[in-house]
Amino acid sequence: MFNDSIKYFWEQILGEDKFNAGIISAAIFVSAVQNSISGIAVGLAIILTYVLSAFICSFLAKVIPIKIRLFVYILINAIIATTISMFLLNVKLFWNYTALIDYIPVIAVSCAIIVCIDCPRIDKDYKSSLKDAFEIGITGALLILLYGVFREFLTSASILGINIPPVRGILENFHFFEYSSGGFILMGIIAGCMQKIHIVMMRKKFMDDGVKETAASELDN
Amino acid sequence: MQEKLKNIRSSPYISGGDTSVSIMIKIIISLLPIVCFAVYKYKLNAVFHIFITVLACIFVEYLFCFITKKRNTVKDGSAVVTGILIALLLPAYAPYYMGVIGGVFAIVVVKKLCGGIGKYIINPSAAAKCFLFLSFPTVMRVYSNGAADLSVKNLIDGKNIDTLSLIVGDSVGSMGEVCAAALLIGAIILVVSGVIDVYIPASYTISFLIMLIIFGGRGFDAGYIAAQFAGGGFLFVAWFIATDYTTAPITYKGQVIYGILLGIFTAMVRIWGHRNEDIYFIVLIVNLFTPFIEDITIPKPFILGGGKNV
Repeated sequence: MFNDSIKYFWEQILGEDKFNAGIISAAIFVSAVQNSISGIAVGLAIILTYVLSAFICSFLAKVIPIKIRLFVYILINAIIATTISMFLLNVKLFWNYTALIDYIPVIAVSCAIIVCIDCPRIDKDYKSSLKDAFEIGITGALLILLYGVFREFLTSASILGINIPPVRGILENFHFFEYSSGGFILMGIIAGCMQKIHIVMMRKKFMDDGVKETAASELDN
Repeated sequence: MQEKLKNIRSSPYISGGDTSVSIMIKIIISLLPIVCFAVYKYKLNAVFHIFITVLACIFVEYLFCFITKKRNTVKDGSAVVTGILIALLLPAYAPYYMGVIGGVFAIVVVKKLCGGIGKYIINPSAAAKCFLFLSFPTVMRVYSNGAADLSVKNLIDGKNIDTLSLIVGDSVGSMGEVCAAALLIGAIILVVSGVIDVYIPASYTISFLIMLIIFGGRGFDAGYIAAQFAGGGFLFVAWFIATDYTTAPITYKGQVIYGILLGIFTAMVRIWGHRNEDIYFIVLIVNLFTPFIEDITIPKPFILGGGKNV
């Protein structure tokens, strides 16, 4: 069922051959303000946004001429993302901070753009576009959670809300990763580490399967 | 006959004698008045800061080259200059590990990971100062043992400042910024030894002056303008940080544009800003404009569309 989700996972964090703006920039703004646990709510909102937009846009694919299709997708996705963010993220159960209200347009627009660029099967029937959007959403939410865990560990020395006192003493005076500047640098560090992991995995795959089989399987996906 | 063939080479046959090391030595000589004043004013604090920072920069660069198995670039001498500049930007009463952390950030993240000595995009010393200022806000603002205010903050608040105290070195700030006279002597040494061209400092000064006159709120008040020039790190940035070869444009026209941009933004943060250290953030921002300025001002070869105005 989750055939392409691994491919979308690496594509989102590494940004191969395209300009990667979307989940990653949303992750930086989201994790600055809150614990990583409440980031799960944002992840759910993002998945829901993606799924609904893909669903609606797949029906419009046949009707709208090719040239303005992308703009209509972006418009619909922006409307859905903004309404869902305003509705879901105002629920008092999940939300502890009000400073994020300023960043909701950023998240909404970035989600809107990325569905159009990322989702390769949005023009086919609604089932495959739903599956694609769900996979992109799930992997994106996982990436936001992972990034939020690292950032939370570096700012307040706690993993998922559990405090670790010894590290707290070292990190008490170091406020660099609380601000956006540290957030971007941390994202760069994480992307670098993921690139190294990806290279090691690909090298192992090449050695195990052989060059031709690996290339064929990559092309098929 | 074979001995004559050994000496065949193509032009150029004469060199000016400039190496990376010789330029760095001239920069260190021009920084000596400032270092001497800092040692005179802050005594052992300054000595330890400079010593520890320079050692940390050299060691980190050597370690990076060793780990990545690349050619040893400590011999350039740029690690020493970066170390001295970072040390001069620290407050005198900061803990000594500030220099180490700043040196590691400047050398590894800004210089080496962005391409090495000719290819980084932002100035490492200014970036290290900004990084330390953001990461350790409490200890990096302790500029004096007492409760004296920074000069530029006083100017923003509207009080008048004695410019003579800024020139002589009686003011409050990081170690390199306090004495305008030492900075001017260092600037003269830089220009006389031929390390920098005066286009960047001149255009910076003139555009800053014009912006202050128009938007400063006090017109042609000579005391206010002199205090803005002599204090707050303006001279340090104009002569030592903004004129870095890598991050400034190559052509003279580009350098004038770069200086004008610096002057406009510096005047904006001096008039409407809050902090004394905003000037270093401005340096980073304008360094990012340099590729665009070079794209506009570097003359294109004939085949790419240039030469039409000749």
